[in-house]
Amino acid sequence: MKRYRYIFRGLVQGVGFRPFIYNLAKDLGLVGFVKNIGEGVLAEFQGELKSTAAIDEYIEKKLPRNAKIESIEKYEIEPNFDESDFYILDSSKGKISTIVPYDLGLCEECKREFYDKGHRHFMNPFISCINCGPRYTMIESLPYDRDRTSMKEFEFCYDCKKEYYTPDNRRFNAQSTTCPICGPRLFLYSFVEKKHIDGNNLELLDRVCNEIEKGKIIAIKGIGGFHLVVDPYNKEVVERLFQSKKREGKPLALVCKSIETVKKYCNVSEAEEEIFNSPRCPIILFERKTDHFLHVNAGLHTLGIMRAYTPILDYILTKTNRDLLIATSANLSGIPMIIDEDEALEKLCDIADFVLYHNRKIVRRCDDSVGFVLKDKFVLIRSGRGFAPITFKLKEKAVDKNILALGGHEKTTIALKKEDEVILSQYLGDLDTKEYIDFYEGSLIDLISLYDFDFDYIACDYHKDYYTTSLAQKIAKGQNKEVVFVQHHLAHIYSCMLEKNLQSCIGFAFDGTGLGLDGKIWGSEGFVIDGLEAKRVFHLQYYPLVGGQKAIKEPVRLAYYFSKIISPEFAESFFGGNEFLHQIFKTAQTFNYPLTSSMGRLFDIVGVLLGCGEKNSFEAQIPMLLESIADRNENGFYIFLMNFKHEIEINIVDILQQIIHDIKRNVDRRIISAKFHNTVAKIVVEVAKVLRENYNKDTVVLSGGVFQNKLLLSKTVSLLEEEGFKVFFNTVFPINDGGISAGQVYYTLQLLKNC
Amino acid sequence: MKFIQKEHGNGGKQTYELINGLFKPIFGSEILKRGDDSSIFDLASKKIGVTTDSFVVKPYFFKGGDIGKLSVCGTVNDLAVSGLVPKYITASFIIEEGFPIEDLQKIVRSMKEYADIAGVEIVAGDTKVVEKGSCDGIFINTTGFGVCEKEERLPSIEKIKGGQIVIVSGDIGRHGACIYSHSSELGVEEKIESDCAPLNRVINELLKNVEICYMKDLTRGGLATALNEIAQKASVDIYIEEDKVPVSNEVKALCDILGLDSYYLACEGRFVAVINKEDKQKTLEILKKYNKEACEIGWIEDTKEKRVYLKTSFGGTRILDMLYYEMLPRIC
Ligand SMILES: [Fe+3]
Ligand SMILES: [Mg+2]
Ligand SMILES: [Zn+2]
Ligand SMILES: [Zn+2]
Repeated sequence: MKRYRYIFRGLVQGVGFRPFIYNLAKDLGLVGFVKNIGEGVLAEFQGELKSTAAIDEYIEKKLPRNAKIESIEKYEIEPNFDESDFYILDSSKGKISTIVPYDLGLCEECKREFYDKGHRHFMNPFISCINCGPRYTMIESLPYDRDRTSMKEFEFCYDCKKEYYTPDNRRFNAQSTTCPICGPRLFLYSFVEKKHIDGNNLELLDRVCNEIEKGKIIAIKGIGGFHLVVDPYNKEVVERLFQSKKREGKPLALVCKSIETVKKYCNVSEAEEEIFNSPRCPIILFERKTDHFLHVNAGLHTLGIMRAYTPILDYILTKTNRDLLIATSANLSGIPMIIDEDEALEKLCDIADFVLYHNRKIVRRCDDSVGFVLKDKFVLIRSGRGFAPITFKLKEKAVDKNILALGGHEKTTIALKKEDEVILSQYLGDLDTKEYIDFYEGSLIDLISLYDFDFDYIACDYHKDYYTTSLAQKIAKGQNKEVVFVQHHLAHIYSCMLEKNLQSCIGFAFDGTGLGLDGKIWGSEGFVIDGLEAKRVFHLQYYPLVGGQKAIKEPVRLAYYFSKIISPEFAESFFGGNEFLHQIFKTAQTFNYPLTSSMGRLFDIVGVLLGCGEKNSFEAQIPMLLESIADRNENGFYIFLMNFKHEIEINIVDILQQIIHDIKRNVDRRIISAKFHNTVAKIVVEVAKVLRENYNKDTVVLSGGVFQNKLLLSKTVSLLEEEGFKVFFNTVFPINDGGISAGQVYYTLQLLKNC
Repeated sequence: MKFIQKEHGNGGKQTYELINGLFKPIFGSEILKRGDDSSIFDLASKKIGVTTDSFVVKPYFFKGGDIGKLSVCGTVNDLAVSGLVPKYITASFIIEEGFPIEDLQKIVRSMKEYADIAGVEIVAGDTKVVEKGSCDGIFINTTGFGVCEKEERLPSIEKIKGGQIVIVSGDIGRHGACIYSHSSELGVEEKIESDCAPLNRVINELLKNVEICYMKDLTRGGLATALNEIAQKASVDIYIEEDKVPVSNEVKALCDILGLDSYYLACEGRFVAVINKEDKQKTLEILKKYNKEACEIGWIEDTKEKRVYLKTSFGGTRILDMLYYEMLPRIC
């Protein structure tokens, strides 16, 4: 008779782990118990065992699909002869360091039961089980138990209780278990009739389907917030949605039931299919192969599509007989997505026609996650539902100090380094408005209390005018903590180094704007990094941000300026004697515009020259169109000169000159765009080759918002690999500014290691 | 044309000639004419105020004023917004060798003109000449003395509280825009007129008729910076409505070209006042006699985040920070 104690750490709560252990014990004929503890799951097995081999084999073979064990601690203890069975015990709150589970999309079994007339969960709009349903967005505190979630309001009916307590049931210990008898219910409000519509859940759902078919806009409360759902085949209603949301043409997300639908319109790789079907259900940017839905995706070459991850979305798709629906988050410009019905009823009256909501509270706002697949890897652009909170286990536990990192200014996230884990929050938005700052501050407090987090260091950006930087200083002053300022582009590189556990590399951070250590606006930075030591070795030669801050929204200002410098008669014919642009051009002689090495602006300029627009109505609109038009088969590139100064510099005028020359010769703009993309990729490779010579390094890291450009990223990676480099880009944390906080953590870790 | 020589600053004969031939006749102050080492004057008041400021503006002649006018108005306005009646000022000059004497004369005359308009007497002065390249043309420092006539009427930061309203005395950003419009080839043909002006008369009339809780003149950093200072010192939040803030079309146009934010452009003849709601009509009546653009732009809230919020016309509440880097974008 032997007894073993196991402590499991990792993603082991909210994923059916305890029932799995229960079944293990039953199958192997063991007694003992299992329970959630703060730091994970604790189990004790007792029986006629020689060793733990049988237990370990069972675990390896039958681990629940959403569980992820980071570590197992096991040892033999004294047998206990009072037990006669295997028990699942209530949680005990210990120290909290377990992985907080992310929200899981509707699973196949639940979906089947939902449509099964004979099943008691037939048409249960909140159907879920141990493999699916909300998690992060309904957890109030840890450990993850029902009475610490927003499900605590709903007392089990007899049948639910039975399922919840039956060990071999799929809802055994599934905290989100509920049914129409005991669970949340639906409400439907009509802005036209200014009243709630009578009816049961099913009647209300059918009414919603009916209204969508009629071309109405419905706000629907989901997992991490409200969606606006409309029929994408009705161009009028899509237009109305754009108008009322003041989205100015920003691409809208689509939702569908199966990958077969996606395949009708897009090229789908195996890896894309796998992620699409996974319970994470992000919005995946697929490459479009037909000309459908150009009116919802701003004419881009991609369509953002996610799997219907709630029974409600799935039902609406089925009932309305649409293969796709638009499901875009319900947010007004400058204001975070709505998560609360009172707010929805107050603020959506000019936008939606109906509001479909339920009375389960959304504890935490979580936008849909967004990303794309490159070389079988998922590159995150926005971390939200299905990903957040991202828990990353540090490969080495070098530093025992805890770190709080506040991120940048746009697409902010918060990162916590707690013991040997780095935790990244969901997307917290651009902090230009009070509404987003309130969301950000609320999330900061939420994370600190959820993780019972105490920190020694606080990291932030180097830009003193970022809200997060002043907040870091304020907190540090109030709590007597030390602040670590991390330069923006370094943070980009360190975010990827953290993921790949790198100590040294050649790093390229390309983006729009970040404050450099020399007071100029950086944006195309190459570094050679060894631990904390980071040497800036490359950037585009500085050029004036002509037209000031407005040049970011209106890159036509810069495009005109460079055209005029390069070829006045081209500028004249291309921009048709625009007096306003000419005035701006003249100011460049004397006015001290900030100097920049921004790569993002260069993409803007080329985009304007190739007719992709004059203004960015939404972020990166012109560069995204530029990417869209590029000929995928073109391999040519423009010539560039590397100037060896303090750093390697490349003058963008040389490149723009050749582009203008090609435009004058009427070269197809798809070719020019491709050649430009190839040129930027080639610049990275050529610079990396020089650095490999001089610094004896062959690992290259790519990060920053410009690498959201999949064409550029894949070209750069391929060319580098051809030259024998080991190449890394972000595949855990967002590749754009959403990863800044993670980079700040890793930089601070390097700093602490050195002192 | 005559120019300032090194010898004008050596304390000898030429210095004497400059002071007695140029400054004294123009300033014409009896106290100054005595030429004593100190000026002695009487300030019949329990409380007096003093302020000092240096002026280094380029160009020193601009549309709507010059460095002389600016140096008088700036100091007069600092006194006035503190609720004081400006009485005396001093003026010190640092002049670069080679500076045209004619220009100096113009500047000094302009100081006299605006001292007279503001009702202040110039009572002390100093001149130093520095080698070519040691300063850029001319720098002027002025120090002003003002008296407090009714102590209980003094505006003070402690009087600010939630529910009060914020008023601006005219359209904003003119001085900053004016200076930018003067940089040659800035693309704008028409120069923008600076708002540089003494504010003591309008403020005096206000103080006599309504209770002003707090006032602040808008200088460097413009409206945004002034409001942030108020929010910080008073521990309140200030809400401003974008649609209501008066900005002239020419200033808007210049900001558009240069990609600047008018809320951060300097003013030299504008102030914000915090008043109680019930005083709004009377306050605006008085202000509008001096400047038609004067209007209510926002309100105070007690929430104590110490921030300035801008309610924008298309939803969302922007934060109007005090900026560290005047022109560096934050957007990535
Ligand atoms: Fe960035
Ligand atoms: Mg002053
Ligand atoms: Zn399920
Ligand atoms: Zn039930």
